[in-house]
Amino acid sequence: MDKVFINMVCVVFTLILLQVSAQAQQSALENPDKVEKVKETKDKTENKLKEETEKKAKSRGFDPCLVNPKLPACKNSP
Amino acid sequence: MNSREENLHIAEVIGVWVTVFTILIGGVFAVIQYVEFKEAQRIDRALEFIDRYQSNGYFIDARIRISQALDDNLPSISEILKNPDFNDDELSKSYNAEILKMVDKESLGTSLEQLFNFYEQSLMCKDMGLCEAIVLESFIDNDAGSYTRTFYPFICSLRKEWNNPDVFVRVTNFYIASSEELCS
Repeated sequence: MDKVFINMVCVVFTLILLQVSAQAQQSALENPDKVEKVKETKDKTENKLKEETEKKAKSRGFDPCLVNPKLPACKNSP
Repeated sequence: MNSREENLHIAEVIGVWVTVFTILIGGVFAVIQYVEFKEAQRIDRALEFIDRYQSNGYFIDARIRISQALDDNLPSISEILKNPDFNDDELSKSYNAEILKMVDKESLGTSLEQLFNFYEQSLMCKDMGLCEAIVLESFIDNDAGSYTRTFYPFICSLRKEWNNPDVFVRVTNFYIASSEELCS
């Protein structure tokens, strides 16, 4: 009887640990700080890019390989 | 063995197996959490790089100066690139001379070195598995690729000046497919 009781206590204890572990994982996946940080960085990035684009727009994205792929830096480029 | 003892034995066996099973599941969850934690760390490091790139005054000034210089010199660069009379060798020499003239005239050397150093650090972080590759690629690759292909004559001139063929080699190897014959 004692062995069964000890086994059952172990099972209950393990199940509780399992539940805590699952909850911790769930909260890690939905970490609001991380989401907020990504959003904040995205907003900041958009503002800076807008500022940069407003100052000088034409040359942004210039790539000589798109104009002449015969340059040494453009050989074998996809 | 009477019926009660048999039931006790069955209960004991079931208890042991359920315990083993739950411990195994707990272990799997622990591994998943560890992997998640490492991935979150890689994303955080990549975001720190992007934050520096997007908000550091030096980098913003450097990019604006380079964009401004490119903007002012685009007609002469395009003229060389679109000249149908040039063979490959003439094209390469004229382009190199034009880019080096622009870098010298607009004093872009320091700005370009700052940017290429940064791109090299971000590639190193990615190669070492410390930063999340897809995050860095999404934010940096477009600029880094076009700057490297546009200003490769400057990198070649630094290699010649410093007598060091490995200057910004990580950047050229990553963004230029034919990097081995780049400065030949």
